[in-house]
Amino acid sequence: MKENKDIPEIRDDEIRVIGDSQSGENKSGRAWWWILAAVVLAAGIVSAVLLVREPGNAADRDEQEQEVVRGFYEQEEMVDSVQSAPAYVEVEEQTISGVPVRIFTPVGGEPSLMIGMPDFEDSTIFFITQAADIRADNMQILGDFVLRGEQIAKGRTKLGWCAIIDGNISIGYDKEPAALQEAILSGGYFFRQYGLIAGGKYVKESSRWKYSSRRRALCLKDGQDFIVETLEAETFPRFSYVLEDLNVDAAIYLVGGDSYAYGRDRDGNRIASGIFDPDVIMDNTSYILWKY
Amino acid sequence: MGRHIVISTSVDLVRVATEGVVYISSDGNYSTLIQADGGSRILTVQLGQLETLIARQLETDGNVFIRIGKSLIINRNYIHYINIPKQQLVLSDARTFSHTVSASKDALRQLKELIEKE
Repeated sequence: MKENKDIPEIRDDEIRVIGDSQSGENKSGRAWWWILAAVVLAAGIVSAVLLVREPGNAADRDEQEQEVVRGFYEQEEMVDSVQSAPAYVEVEEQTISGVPVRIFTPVGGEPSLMIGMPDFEDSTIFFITQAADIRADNMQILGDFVLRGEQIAKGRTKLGWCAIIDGNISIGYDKEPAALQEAILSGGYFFRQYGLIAGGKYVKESSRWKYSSRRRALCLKDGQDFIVETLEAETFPRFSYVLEDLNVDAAIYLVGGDSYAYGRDRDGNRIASGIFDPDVIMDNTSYILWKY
Repeated sequence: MGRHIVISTSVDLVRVATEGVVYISSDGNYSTLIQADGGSRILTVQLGQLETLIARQLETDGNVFIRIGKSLIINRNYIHYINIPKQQLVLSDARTFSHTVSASKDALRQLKELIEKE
């Protein structure tokens, strides 16, 4: 479905009666047209004055030329700033121990958590993927969950945890991590999922689940956070062994299967994984995201 | 029988009578339709696309709907209460439903003037 460009943009301080373009109720927009017309008129007058003005001396001309040069560089800098994303996600595909995986490495920006439908128009989000699971019985978030210092769900069904404090991600595996209280006190973030790797070793929390699915995990290695997902369905144990072979220091599971993840690469190209289905996004669907 | 809006994508179709729409809000690339029967539905189209679609399908009858800022399309027949300082707009049929939405003060001021002239 393509948007009809005949309908102009609207600002938040405007209203517009639909199907009634002659109503003139877009007063603020009309005011802007008057302002634009006035600016065009003023520019015309200034141009006319400059055209009839006598040429100045050499110093005046140099000054004018310098102004032109300065303007050229400013414009070039503006173009550069648009083309180079301030933060982005690097995407790499590898085969580890015979398992094809895709690795997303956020570059720049800061991680956080959010709940609900992501704002797909927010260009500052350069990677986002689902974080905690949802309980089937009451549709609440499964396990401890802290959002900007507020604990909005409690539970230790899963012992894997991820905390984001002062923009730094830590991943662990235990029942009562100090990071939970620290996240609350510092206005940070915290969620629980299956622990996969702790201290560089395979954690068997998820090993009872024998079925195969596409797997996704948040990992830490030498202080760098990144996301690994399998391109094919794998069991939890096999996925954990892949992460172990990647020599990650810690890893926690993220919602896998066909769950949707998207981001932007260095060139601003949109990248996506999984299937977007708005019907499966619930009020309590949570995400870990990186934005600048 | 009243007129309908038909929203069709490659995989589904939604057909709703104009009086069945209370308001539509923007969720980025998607929109949420709030219905008079209490239901709601996520639409995989942007609000601007819906505005275009309503204008094209309903033509001048589309003036029952008002676009408010970037985030809302409302059914003017359900405007029940406007409070500019609180940036509050209540949409209700005064019987079965009442929805409170937020909009900018300038937009609500213009909406109030519009309704006063009706």
